[in-house]
Amino acid sequence: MIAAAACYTGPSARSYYGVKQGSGIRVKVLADKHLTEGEVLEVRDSTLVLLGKKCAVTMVPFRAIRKAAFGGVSPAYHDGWPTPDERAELKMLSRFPGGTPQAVLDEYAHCRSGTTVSAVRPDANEFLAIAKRTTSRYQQLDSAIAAGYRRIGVDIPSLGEHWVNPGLVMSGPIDPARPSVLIYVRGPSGPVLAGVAWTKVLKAGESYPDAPAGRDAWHEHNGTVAAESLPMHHDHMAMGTTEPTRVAILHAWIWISNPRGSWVAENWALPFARAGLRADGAPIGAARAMSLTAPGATEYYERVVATAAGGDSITFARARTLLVSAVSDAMVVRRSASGTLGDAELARLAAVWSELWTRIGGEPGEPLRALAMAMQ
Amino acid sequence: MKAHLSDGSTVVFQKGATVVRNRVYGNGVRYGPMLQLVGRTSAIPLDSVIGMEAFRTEVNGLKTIGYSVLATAATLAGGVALACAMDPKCFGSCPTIYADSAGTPVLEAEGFSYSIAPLLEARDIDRLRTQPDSQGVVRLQVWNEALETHYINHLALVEATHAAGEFVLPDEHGRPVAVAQYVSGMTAHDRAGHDITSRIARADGVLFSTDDATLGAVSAEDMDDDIDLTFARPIGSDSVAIVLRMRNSLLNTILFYDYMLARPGARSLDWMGNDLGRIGPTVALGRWYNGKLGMRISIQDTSGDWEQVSKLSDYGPIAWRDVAAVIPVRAGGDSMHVRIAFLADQWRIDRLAVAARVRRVPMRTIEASDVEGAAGTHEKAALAAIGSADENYLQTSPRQRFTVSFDVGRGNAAEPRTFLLVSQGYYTEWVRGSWMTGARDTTAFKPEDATLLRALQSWRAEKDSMEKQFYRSRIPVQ
Repeated sequence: MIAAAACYTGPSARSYYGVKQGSGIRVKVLADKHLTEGEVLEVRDSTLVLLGKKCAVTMVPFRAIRKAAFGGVSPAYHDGWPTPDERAELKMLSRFPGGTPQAVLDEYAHCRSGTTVSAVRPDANEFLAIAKRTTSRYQQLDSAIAAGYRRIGVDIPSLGEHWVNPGLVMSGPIDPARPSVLIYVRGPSGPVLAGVAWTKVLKAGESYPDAPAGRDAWHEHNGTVAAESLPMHHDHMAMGTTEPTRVAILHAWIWISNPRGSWVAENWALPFARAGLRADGAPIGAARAMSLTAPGATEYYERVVATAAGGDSITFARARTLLVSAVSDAMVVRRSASGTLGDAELARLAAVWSELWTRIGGEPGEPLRALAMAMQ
Repeated sequence: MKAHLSDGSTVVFQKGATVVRNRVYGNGVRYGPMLQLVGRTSAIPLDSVIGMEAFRTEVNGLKTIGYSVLATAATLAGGVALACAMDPKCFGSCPTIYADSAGTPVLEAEGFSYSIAPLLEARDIDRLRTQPDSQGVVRLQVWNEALETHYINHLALVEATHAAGEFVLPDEHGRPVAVAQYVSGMTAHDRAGHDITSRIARADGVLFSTDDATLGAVSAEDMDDDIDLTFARPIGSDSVAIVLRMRNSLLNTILFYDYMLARPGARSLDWMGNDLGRIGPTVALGRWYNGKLGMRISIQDTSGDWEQVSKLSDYGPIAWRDVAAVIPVRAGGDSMHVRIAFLADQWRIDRLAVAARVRRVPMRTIEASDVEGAAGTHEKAALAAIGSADENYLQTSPRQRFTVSFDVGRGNAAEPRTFLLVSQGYYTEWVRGSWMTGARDTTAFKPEDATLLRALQSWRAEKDSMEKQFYRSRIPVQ
């Protein structure tokens, strides 16, 4: 009855424990007479991956679970297994919906063994300083084109346009003076250099490099450009894939600062930079809403929604109507703003974003609901 | 997928096609030779197919590609096209660029020879010999004389102003440099020990190619040839330029046509359309190719060890290419020893010299001012398509050609100018119907050394006949 009541009224995405804090949802599990408590790192097909005290990572097979209490949700169990819907929901509430990177597991293994591994290497700042000095000549996009960089992919809201030098991707050294990728965004006066990236070609199972910013800072791209451009299908953190050749990438936001850190892949300051505005301490929801106002953004998000909607044209049409309305609302805020956005404007933008995905999440279809949850 | 038929029509399979027992199946829409809609078809016999290609409607992931086509369509001439469809040795590999010399087209360059898929789209820069006409206009003809579809993204000219006596050419990174003061007394020996100094001293059509004994001795462990240069260490220079006039041999063509496309048959369509549409497999191919092919330039230090200091990419087997590799002059001894290493018989070298003086030169980029189709029509859409590196491409089919003009101005006789052509794009090779019926491999191409060794052995056996046939089998343009 409790499960049914939860299902009927449902906690909202905003009140989900895991979503608000960024870590995975917490759980207490009784399995095979053992009580285990921790954060859900990952939900695999048949196993929960939990992080307990003192870096203890435990795999708990669903079959072994007798009772489980998750913070904020009550999945229904049948013979020890959650239903597919509940498993999908749990996956989105775990810390790594796409799978735990090997680098993270290594980190916890080190931690457990008492070995200290620092995530940012002492010379990382010098590395960034060299990169900034040597890439200042690429402030003009024409210089980058003349140097052999070409655009691959579209202007992604938090990742910008990636201009890739194929020769440097193939040849491989991680040289601060020669990044294989330059990242631009289109501002009011034209393309603006925002950051750089280095790539490393890896074999199946090979770990990300430790230098210059630690393994956690890397992610990878192996699929088609279209798939890699979409947030739900981005082959992000695909460590452990059996792809024989993988391309790992490390972003560094040396020209447009990233509020979450120079080495963090996504930079949610970019949407404001595109608009020629500033927003100090903006919540990500506000930044995401601002990204709706960029040229080409409607097309991008339509594609994101269409991919999730599959071939359901009616659902897509309804979602598209919501999207267009949200774009319009975000444009109102953008047009009335100048210079630095204030709290009220940021709150309005955040509300636009939240409402959009809450309403899209109400559309039928698990993929669309999963997308809506991920976008919030 | 598109199937190009021997009657000049094209069948487009928007959702792909299946090749089973000498027939192609799928939901196809047929267009006539003048691109008129004919109707639907669900099966076509392979023996009516000249070639098939995978194509994309999107580039850069999510952006719908914009294709412009020339106003004058071209139909395939039956004779050459059909003969070509049967034989992997047919002319091919990328757009060819000609300048007019008193009514005779003179080959100047070939564009992006190794960009065989959208992800491999590349930017090439080629030195041109042509100069502007009396009106200050440089006109170049761009031909599609192969069984390929060309997707031209950008064409532009770079004008380099330099001193008299300097020779301007692109370096290994595609940047124009001016070279002068050729070192005298340089000697060159190949791996077989032959003195090839006089053979490569001048651009005179007397070519260096790998000695047959060296080619015959290749093994899995060692597939290379090399040229060792010795010359006096220049005084007062911190770098020199190795200046080459060269082109690839048709070994690369055997590797591409025979091993990547013909032997796997229809699987090569999947390979080009799917595998080369994914980042991982494309990078794997690129790394393998770059590691095995091209030209590696090393200098010897005082302890006798070799250090690689430069790398030249492959350029294509059709047009002669002038290129420089700028290498450092290291202290120690009166002489410099430089080794140029490459896959055996991968190159034809007309001239090799060392220039003691090398410098960057002032440059100006000039965008195209006009595109004319074969019938002399001014093609605004085509001009817009090639105007910048973006999502808009000019697509050309076999037999099509166009003339692109660049208004460079009359210039100043006291300031010599050299022009270089920038070309960016990619092309898709048509997988011949005969390749699909005669497939010999059961898997798609894998970039492996064993395959390269087999290609070398095939090349040694076929090279004479292939070189004769290849250049004769151009598809005549309109």
